[in-house]
Amino acid sequence: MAVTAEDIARFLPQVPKPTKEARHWFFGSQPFVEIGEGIELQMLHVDLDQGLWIVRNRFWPGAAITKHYHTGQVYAVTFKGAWYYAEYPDHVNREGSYMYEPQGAVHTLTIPADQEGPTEVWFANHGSVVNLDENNNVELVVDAATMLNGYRMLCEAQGLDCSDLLVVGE
Amino acid sequence: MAMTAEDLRKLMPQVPQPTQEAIHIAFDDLPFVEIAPGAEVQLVHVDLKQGLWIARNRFQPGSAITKHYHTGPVYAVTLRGKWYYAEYPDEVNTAGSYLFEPAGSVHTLTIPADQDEPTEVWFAINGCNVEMDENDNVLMVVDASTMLNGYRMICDAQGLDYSKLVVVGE
Repeated sequence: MAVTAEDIARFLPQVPKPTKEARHWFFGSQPFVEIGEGIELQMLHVDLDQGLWIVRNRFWPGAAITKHYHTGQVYAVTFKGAWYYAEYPDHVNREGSYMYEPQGAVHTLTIPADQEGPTEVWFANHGSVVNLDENNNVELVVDAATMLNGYRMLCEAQGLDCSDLLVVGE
Repeated sequence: MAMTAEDLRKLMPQVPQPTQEAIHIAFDDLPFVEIAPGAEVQLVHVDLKQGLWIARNRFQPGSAITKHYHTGPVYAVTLRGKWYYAEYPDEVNTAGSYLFEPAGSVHTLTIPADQDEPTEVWFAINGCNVEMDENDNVLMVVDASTMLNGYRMICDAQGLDYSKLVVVGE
């Protein structure tokens, strides 16, 4: 039997039914928890099947994050305040900045000490974070599942509600 | 011959040499061009091998974008002003909001008419944008290379410098 044009039409992409909605998080929709001195994290969206985690971070003046690299790509969008990587301090991220981190870029996130108020940044992280010591020895490897478990544990210990978290692949 | 521990160590992941730098694009590093009445786009990063484009958009009060869906996931981070999808107007994105659009969610981006300032949003868009008419007939399909060619063409016509645009896979 020959295949008709109508048969073929059935296999073409269909306009989706409007049952899928986008998911929205206000800035204050999830709790921030402290994960280091002057470093707070608010987790929004984890996709364990992709090794992706999406967070907002709040950093206080003078705070810094251990030197590290990511095994996947990272996208960073800045809402407020300033930050830079100590390895190239002239590239200062500010309100509205976008930073693209190709996988394997090694850097030490730094917040200016003389700034008033916190820095707030949205990050989408793919792959793992590999923390390094000053001689580039590996200290710690963190992935999406580690982040998810850690965030839930901290929220639970402090009696915070983190139920607005979107988790794919669990 | 058996493999020695030293042989194996050579095959382990190596800490990357610090030659890869993150790429920073400040808010005014690239030109905004008008693509529809009240809608401007500033393309910042295109990855043709992933079908990904990343842009900042500026929308004037009362503007709207034709109903569409995306064939891949979209991440939206709001820098300023308000916007919502006409299909679910109670979920209003404001400064600091994060919106996740699963592939196939259908929506009509709308900017409140009574707002004093423009709305500015950063989008990372995977796959194609499929525009539809009111009866859900497909009007147009736009992908990462369409966006790249269109942005360059408009910038060239207006004599605007887009040399800071990040293009992967060309």
